[in-house]
Order: sequence, then C-alpha cells, then structure tokens
Amino acid sequence: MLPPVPALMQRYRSAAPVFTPLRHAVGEALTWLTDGLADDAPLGLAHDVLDSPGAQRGLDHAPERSLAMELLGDSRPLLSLPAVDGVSTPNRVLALANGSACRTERAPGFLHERAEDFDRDLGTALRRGGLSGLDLELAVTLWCAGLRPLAEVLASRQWRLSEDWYDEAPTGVQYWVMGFECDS
Amino acid sequence: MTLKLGRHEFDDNTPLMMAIVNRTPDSFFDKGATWAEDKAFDRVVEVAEQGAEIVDIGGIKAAPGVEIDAAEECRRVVGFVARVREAFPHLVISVDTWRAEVGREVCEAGADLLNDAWGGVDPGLAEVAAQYDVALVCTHTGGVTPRTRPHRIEYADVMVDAIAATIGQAERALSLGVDRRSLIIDPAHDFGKNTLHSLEITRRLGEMTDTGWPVLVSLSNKDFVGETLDRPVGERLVGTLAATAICAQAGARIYRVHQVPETRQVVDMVWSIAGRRQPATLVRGVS
Repeated sequence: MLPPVPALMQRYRSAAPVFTPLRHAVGEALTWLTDGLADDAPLGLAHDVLDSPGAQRGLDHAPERSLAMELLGDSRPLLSLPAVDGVSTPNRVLALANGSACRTERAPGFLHERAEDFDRDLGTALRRGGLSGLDLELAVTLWCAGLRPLAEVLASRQWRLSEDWYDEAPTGVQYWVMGFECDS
Repeated sequence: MTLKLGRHEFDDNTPLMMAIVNRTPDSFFDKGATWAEDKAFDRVVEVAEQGAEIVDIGGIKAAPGVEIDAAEECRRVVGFVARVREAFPHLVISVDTWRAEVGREVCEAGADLLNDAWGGVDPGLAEVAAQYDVALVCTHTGGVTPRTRPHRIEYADVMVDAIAATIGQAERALSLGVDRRSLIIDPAHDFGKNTLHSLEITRRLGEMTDTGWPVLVSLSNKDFVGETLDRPVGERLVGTLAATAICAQAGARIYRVHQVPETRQVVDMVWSIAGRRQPATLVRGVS
C-alpha cells in the first residue's frame, strides 16, 4: 500500500525535499512487491475510481491508474480490483490509499479536529491487517483516498503487516507505505 | 470589443487594473490590513489615485477557514460598496462573491460587476447580473467547492477545460439577459489547479483571448508564483509581473492586482510592444 501522491510522478518532481523520504519508501515497496515477478505478470490494482463526469475532466481513467502505470512501467499488466467474474485476482496487489488530508491548516482539506484521531485508529487497524468497522463516511469527510477498495482487498484474505516503511503526514496528508502478506 | 461594466464603458484597446480591496481579517497577502472599514476606504483612495479603473471588494478570503455566511458577508461589503459608490462615481465597483443573495445586495448598493470567482456555484448569480444590468466574471475552477484547495486535480487538457467551462457560463449568462459586452472570462490561476496547470494556462492564454471573450487574469502574488520561484508571500512581485507580461502579450484585458502601479507599467509596456498602445512620449529621433 502506498499513497496516490501525484508528486511521485516524474512531471511533478521538483527540488522540494518534502517528498524525498516518501519517494525512497515507495521505491523500496515497489521493489519488494515485484521481487521475482516476471515483467509481464499482472498485478492487482486497488484504488478510487472516477465517480462522476465532473471528476473526470476529460480523463480516460483515474489519475491513480496513471500513477501506477508510471511507477510500475507501462508494460506491466494492471488488473483493477475487484476483478470481474471469471478473472482470477492476481496474487500481488498494489493498493493506492492514504489517511486524512486534514491534519493542519495548510493541509489540502484544512484542519479537521477529528483527523488525527481518525488516522491513529486507521494506522492501528492497518497494522492489524484489516479495516472492518472503519467509518468510511468520516473518511470521505476527511479527504481520505482509496480506503473502500483497500478495505475490500484486506477483507478478501487473511493479511498481516510485514513491512512498515513510512508513516508520516509531511504536507498535512497522512501517508503510509506498508507491505502485507497473506498465508493462502 | 467594448467592455460595459455596469455604468462604465471602455473601448477595445484599454487594459484595466482591478485593485484588490479585502474586507477580511485574514486574506493571504494583506493579512487583514484593510479589515477595518476606514482602512479599506483608504486603500480605495490609494488605488484610485494610482489609476485603477476597478476595485474588487471581497468579504471572504479564498482559502479555507472560519465559515462566513451570507449575512456576515453582506455586513462586510454592502455598506462599504455604498460608501465607495458615493465617493467615487467614476470607479468601477466589483464584488468578489459566489452568492446570488450577496450579489443582489451589492448591486442595490451600487456595484457594477460581480466577480464570480468560484465558477458558477450559485447559478442565481448570473440571474442577478442580468436583473441589475451589471457585468459578470465567469471563472474556471474545475468544479471544486468554494474555499477548498486543489487536491490531486488532473485534466486531460486544462486550457480546453477552462475555455469550455468559462464560455459555457458566459453563454448561459447571455441567455439570461446579461449584455454580451458585460461578460468576462477568467482561467483562474491556482483555483482548482496545481502550479503546472497555472503555468500552462499562462503559457496558453492566447487560446483563451482568441475566443473573442474579454479575459481577466488574477495572478497577483499567488502560490503558483511562489512555488515556481520558491518565494514566500511578500516576495512574489517580480514573478507576478513576469506572468503579467505573458498574459498582456496574449491580450488579457483586466488584471486583478495588489500592486497597481507596477502592474500598470508592465502591461503598458507590453501593450506598446504589441503595437496596441502608443508610447506615452515620443521625442527620441523624431524631433
């Protein structure tokens, strides 16, 4: 799991140091995720989808998918989850999600008094390997991203946290970069 | 095209300075310097003396913060508009609001122009412009909610989106009865845009002016300037003026600014280079 941060893309690279540790963590995570995987082997992809024409702004697909394609290489097949009937879910999944975007007055979603507690509880839930019981309505209010598809992925199998590369909110948005494994 | 801004008309080749006058305690640039009404009035006196044709009076800062309802917004701006109207009959009075309710009150008080900086969120605002025969600024924000910051917004083509959205609003206002000469479009730097988007609409502003609709640009000291040059608020004038020059070359008609004299010089210079304005004096080599 990593956050769908546009600044991870080449066209948004700059001298701003604020994203440097996140980029390093994402690099480690992607290396871990694709270790030993053939270049043409598919990866599952869990992320928010464009839910209204107004949100699309002429785009063919969600910006999260563009980010994944750039990070993983255009040749990597990506299967959006949940998979349609008859298509098996890949064993490896990239989930694009983050916590609240309301941690400070300079945060994209401005300061929300419930953001810090929400993120703390969300972090605890992630480390347990599941998001059952999470208040997804509040997540929307707090400008979280990707939590509904992430919750579906985590509910699909028995996952456990195995890697915990990053846990910060450098721009007022709570980011985690984590690796999960399952026994089955 | 001749601009008709309420009671006032301006011919084709006149670029106009719209001076920002905040009736807020917390706007990003002046940080409440004109929150007190008399201070705001002093600011109007100052920018009028500096040659601004328009004052843009706002009662709510654009950034997120304490919620200001329509009643409080009216308390901040309506009486002030009336005071400015009485003291400066030749000044164009614009009010920066997205609310029809506020728009109606300020038009009653003497406003000439409604600066709908949040892109038609309240469709009734255009109806107010038609009812009172005032001008309207039609703005591109990518559909974001007023007073929210852009967050991970992407466009297939930001300028195509901006032109479609602003002209769509302008044509709707026209159908409601707003005078064609009173409709202005604004790509709205920073609103619903990241810095690359704002740089792109600056670079491609000619596509917007080519539509034939008069274009307003609001560049002054904004974050896209700050991020581009890594300069905090207060150190963005040079970058602002560079962007202003590019927009002037493209033919923008109205410049919403904090610093009137500096912007006027840049626009006049570019306007003259473009052959749209005669130099103020011509002596060298022609005596």
